[in-house]
Amino acid sequence: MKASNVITMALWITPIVVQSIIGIVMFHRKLVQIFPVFFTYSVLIPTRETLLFVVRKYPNSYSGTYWLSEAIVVTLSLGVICEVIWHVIRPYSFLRRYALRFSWLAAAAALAVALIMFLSASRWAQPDPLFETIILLERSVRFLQACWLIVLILLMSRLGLTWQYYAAGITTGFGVYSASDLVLLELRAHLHWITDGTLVLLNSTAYNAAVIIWALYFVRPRLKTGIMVASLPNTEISRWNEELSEYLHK
Amino acid sequence: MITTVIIGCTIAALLLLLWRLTKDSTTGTDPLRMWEAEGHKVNVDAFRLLVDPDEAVFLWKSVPTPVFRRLQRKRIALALHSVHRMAGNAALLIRVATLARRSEDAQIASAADQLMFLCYRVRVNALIAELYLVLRWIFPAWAIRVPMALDRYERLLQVSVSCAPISVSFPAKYS
Repeated sequence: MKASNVITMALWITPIVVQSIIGIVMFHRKLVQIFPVFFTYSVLIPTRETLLFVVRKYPNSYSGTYWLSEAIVVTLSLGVICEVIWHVIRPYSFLRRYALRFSWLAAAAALAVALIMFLSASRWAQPDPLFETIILLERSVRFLQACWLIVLILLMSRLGLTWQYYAAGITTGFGVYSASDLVLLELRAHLHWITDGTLVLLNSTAYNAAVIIWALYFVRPRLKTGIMVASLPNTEISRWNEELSEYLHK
Repeated sequence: MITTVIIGCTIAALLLLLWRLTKDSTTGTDPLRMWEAEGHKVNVDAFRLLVDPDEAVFLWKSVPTPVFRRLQRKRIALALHSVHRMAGNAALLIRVATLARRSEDAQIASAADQLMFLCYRVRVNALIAELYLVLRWIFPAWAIRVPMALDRYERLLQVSVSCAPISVSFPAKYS
């Protein structure tokens, strides 16, 4: 067996095993109710990859299974980001409405840019226009995903909200994968600097990195801090608020 | 080319934010201890003087324009520093309040809710104030006014409607 084949196999099998473990751990820690979409994603991917592994010698079945499941996977990955946004915003009832509205507005703007990029790309001049169209469409979706993640992280950091452990892990994993995939799709679909084989190999590597990040957050035993706040500190927060409000309304 | 630049910028921004996210996720650190160590004193009276438009007008009248610009920029930079401190303190207090909300003591939990709401308001106000202060730093001689909030505008509209002469007719919405 060639070294390249071994690497390809390792990159294929690793996420199947690791994501199955993540799914089991999530079920065991009762995280399924908290992150149902991410759990579905974690179960669907190993199932799909196992199915693809079985039918890998039948090109038509492989291609059909891959593209059909890819559409579901991409939709689910967007659903996971929605789930994380909802999960991190939910405890703050006073900003729920505005934060969600802001997220949807940002998503709409990113979708518009993604559509413009998709429509402006010349794909009919390429040898396989259908394949080019699919790749450009995927690039647009990854762009939307990346923009949504940027908005989520910015919103959290600008408002000074606290990241929850698992939400931070899911976001980091998806962020790394989205960024890497976006680079690769740009290099392949727009710039044509890499071949399809290299795209598949590097994409698989990026996905492995994301799965390892999720595993670090989900599988690693979580330290219980047990910090309790017995009293609140004396602050001048209401005075700061008054001063800032007064300044803004001068 | 433009597409590549947009995608490149998006990726760079995402990676930078992810790096900050992993760096800043200080799960397990006692926020009260962090507040004691990193909470900054803010001189509110000084801030009020720094952003006082009358003070700016006095300065404008007292010194030549180039000197005014230099001094005004210094004042704005100091005001920005104060706003940064307020926002930073509010972020730390949000962490304290997040933990305190889980307290079994109902009074502490309720006080934590109020603290969190105030902190959130400080963060939002600080965000807008920073934006305007940066604009004023760029154009120190411009009297940039913050647009009135919509509710204030509506209140103003209602007052003007009630003060308007009877002969003037308004749409049903405002009458």
